[in-house]
Amino acid sequence: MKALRAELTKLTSLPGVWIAVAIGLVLPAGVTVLNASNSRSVPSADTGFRELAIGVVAAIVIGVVAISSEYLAEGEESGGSRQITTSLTAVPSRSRFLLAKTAAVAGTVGLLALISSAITLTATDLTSADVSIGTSDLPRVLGIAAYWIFSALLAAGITLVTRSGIIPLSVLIVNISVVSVSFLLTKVTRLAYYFPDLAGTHLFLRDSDGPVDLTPVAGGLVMGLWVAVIAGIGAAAFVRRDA
Amino acid sequence: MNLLRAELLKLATLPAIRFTVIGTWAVTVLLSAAAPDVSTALYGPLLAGFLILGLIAATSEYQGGQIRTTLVAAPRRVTTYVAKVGALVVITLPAAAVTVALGTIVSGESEAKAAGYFAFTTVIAHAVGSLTRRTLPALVGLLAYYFIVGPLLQPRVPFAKYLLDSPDWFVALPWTAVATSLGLLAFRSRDA
Repeated sequence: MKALRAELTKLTSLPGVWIAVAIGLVLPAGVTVLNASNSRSVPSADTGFRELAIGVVAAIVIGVVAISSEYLAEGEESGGSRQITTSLTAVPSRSRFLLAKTAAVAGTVGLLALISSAITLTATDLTSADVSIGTSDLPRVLGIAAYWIFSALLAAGITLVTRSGIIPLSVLIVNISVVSVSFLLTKVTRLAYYFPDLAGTHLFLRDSDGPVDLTPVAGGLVMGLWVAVIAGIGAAAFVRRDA
Repeated sequence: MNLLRAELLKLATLPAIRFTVIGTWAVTVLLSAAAPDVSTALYGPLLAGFLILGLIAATSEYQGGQIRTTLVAAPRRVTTYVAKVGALVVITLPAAAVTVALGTIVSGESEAKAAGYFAFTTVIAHAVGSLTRRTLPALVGLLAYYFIVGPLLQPRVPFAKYLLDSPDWFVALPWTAVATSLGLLAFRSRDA
């Protein structure tokens, strides 16, 4: 429990995390309002949820920064030391450290996803006359939370291997953009529909436009499997490598 | 001239710069083969490589206090900053030209104007980096703007074509000038 509290303190004192929280709360709701006032966007069963899928950028940033901040060299004045040295002195068991880190990231991102969903879906309900959000959408909100948590853990797993945040941040954020790399790859092979970011959207989207239509549970399982493999590689690297 | 040579030497000996440029070229080849047309590839994910290039060129000075050595050797801030931007442009132009050339070779179509877009964006990223001095927050902001907010605004608001992610040179040039001036002013007046 103490390790978890320590991880939460570290996480909530990072400026990058607060930037991410601001993006996660403002971006999906802002896009919803912008879409509602635009005549060209057609309301569908996924209005509000597609926008929340973009907000996953916040989860990615939190996942990356939680790990990369541990490895950032402080500069010559403080002997070029890194926070990970202090962290592992305080919590020498690497698996316990990782467990606390995972719980802190998943808890923070899950809470953020729920709050952001509440704001965005309320905005959807108020601004789009043709779409109404009710209690029947609750499972999809849990789907959003699962999607955000999975994405954060995926990002953290990659960062455990690279240690620098630059590569995972660039690759993962670029991949949420309108012309994502995964989407381009679906033109080459249908297998790309099983990439974590595309398979995971079945957790909460109902109007699937691709040829591969997964149920929410199957989509979640495919994405969860990706997360388990990649985070597993990251954890194995973390446990074995010198800090 | 010595200043420009020193800045060039620093950029050329940074492994991160080399990896970024070579990585960008590799992705160019892959994407030009996969994308339906060459402008989707060039005006898409590749920009990230140039954002990182400009950003690292600026923020690497502040990791470990190299900036103090730089300013002891070259105390005149304005000329130093101009030399920095100059050296970055000298590195960026060939990198961008090769990127566009690779796209042309692989896809068979040519989109030469993208090289200018890459160069302008690199200089804007450099200005953002020298304002924030920190790599990751600046990277989050730049990527979120260029890849998420910018493309979302583009079809939805009328003024979007005048924003800084416009591929039009006549729009990008003033934005680059404004960003560089802000970076210069901050570099001149702030403590190192």
